Amino acid sequence: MVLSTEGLSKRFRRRTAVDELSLTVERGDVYGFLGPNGAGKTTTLRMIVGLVRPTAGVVRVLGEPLTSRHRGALARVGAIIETPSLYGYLSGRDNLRMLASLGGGCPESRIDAVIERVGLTGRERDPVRIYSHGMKQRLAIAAALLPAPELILLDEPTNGLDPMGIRSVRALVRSLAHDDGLTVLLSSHLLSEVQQICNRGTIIARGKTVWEGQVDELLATRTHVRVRARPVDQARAIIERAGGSADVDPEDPGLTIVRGGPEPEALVEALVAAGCRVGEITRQTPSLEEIFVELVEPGEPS
Amino acid sequence: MTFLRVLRWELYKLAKRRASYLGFGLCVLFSLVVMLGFAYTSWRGLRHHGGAIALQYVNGYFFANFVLQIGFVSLLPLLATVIAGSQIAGEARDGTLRALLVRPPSRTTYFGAKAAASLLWLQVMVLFLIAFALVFGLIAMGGGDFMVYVWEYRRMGPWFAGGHDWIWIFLVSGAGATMALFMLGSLALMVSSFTDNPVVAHVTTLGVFFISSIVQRLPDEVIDPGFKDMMPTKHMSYWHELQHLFHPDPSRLDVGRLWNDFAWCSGYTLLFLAVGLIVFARRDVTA
Repeated sequence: MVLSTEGLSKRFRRRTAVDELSLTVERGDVYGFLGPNGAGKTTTLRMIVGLVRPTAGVVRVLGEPLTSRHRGALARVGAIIETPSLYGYLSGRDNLRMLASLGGGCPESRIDAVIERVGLTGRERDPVRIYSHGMKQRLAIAAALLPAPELILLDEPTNGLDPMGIRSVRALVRSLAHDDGLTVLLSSHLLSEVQQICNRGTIIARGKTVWEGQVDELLATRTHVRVRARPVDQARAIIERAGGSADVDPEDPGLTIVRGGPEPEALVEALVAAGCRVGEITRQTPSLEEIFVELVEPGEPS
Repeated sequence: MTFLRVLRWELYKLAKRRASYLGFGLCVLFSLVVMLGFAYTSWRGLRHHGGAIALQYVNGYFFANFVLQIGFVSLLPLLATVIAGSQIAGEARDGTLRALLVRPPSRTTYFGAKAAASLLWLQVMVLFLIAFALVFGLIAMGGGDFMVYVWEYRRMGPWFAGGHDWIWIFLVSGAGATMALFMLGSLALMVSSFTDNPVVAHVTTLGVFFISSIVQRLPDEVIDPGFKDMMPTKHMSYWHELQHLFHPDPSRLDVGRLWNDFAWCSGYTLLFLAVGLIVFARRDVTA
């Protein structure tokens, strides 16, 4: 286990920002940390790296509990919390030199390697104040990579980037996980981003966990089949006999939503054999966005 | 080792930031203005000090000592406040504090390094003011005997430093003045650890400086001397006494006053640093 939190809570005066949050990130995970704005994602990340003191709960990084006195594990963690914040009056290389030194030092060759890794070769001697937002984001990722981390925490890394920048940062994150074997915790409110990049994740809302698990499984359990067949009652009875649950779509009474049961091909065969007229049959996997809305705002139409 | 590494980078950041050099520019400007003021008044202000100041002794050494004394109550408190007050709050405002605090060194190490860097930078600035005023004064007014004249001791009259004592007088005065000014620096650093806005630290510290300076000068009938003794600025000028270390008459050195004021100043400095450290170590970094 690379990172875990147990009962992690944070209250700011009367407002509870994070409420008994528990999550587990295993080695090799690209872990999505999802939630709407204000859900408590950044506060959680701040607690993980020691910027904010938890009101209750424990953070374990690489097996060690993280406290104000035991921060050694942070040497093996790279983190970007919120917007990339680097010294504008220093060059990109000087920023990296300083952060490397504070982390215990590393050879110049390592600095060259991370500069090349994020595609900033040739610009590393420029002062950071003239970098574009995308370049600053890549420099921040380079800084996070400096200590050859086992875990990297990225807080909304594509925020504020143009489409090309978003694509480039996503490709970089994917490559860090797949090519470099890093464990990545990616916080985002962009569901498509998590769907594209992450294998596991957590969804939080109002500081509480509303789901944790495999992204694929979450999508699979919400997959359903839409059936338009007549007569409706007969079709529904056949579906239920075949082992599926059949619910009428409240907005379209002619449409039956089927969960579980046989595959669509077998379903068509059974319905036709029973004399039903099948007008439409579609397998539908909801987007993470639809699932997210369902989990975060139960009762709201997705 | 970690402390020295962090300190080295804190000094490097100060050295690379353009704003850090504004203070040096102000030191130059301050010396020029004082020199212009001297010339404009044709020294008549000095002539009237009980006839104690002979104009032939108004030279480069006298000018440098004068600039240090006047700068100590006007320009240097401002510089000490700005340097130290920007250390934590400035980084919090710029977001760079996050980048530092997710690295392994403890907050105590960062706070200590920032305090030490502020002290060293302030020391460099004070020495620069003295050196510039000295060179400028020697060029404009020439050299000669160093007449030590401190306004606080005007009733005792001036005295003359012997031989090359001027070097030691300026070095010791520079070090003493820096330590005294660092009391304001530590106050600014303390306030800086409460806030994410450096302006709050600057204004608060200068506010305390002005209030304390005014209260300490009120008549004893209005404010009891015992209360005035508690004003932080009341004890800052103990470095004047350090110049008596080089007085031809050793009995002129008031060791009691020196230690008393030094103890008050150091006590306030340590108190401000301790409170600042406790707040900084415990605060949530949300900026």
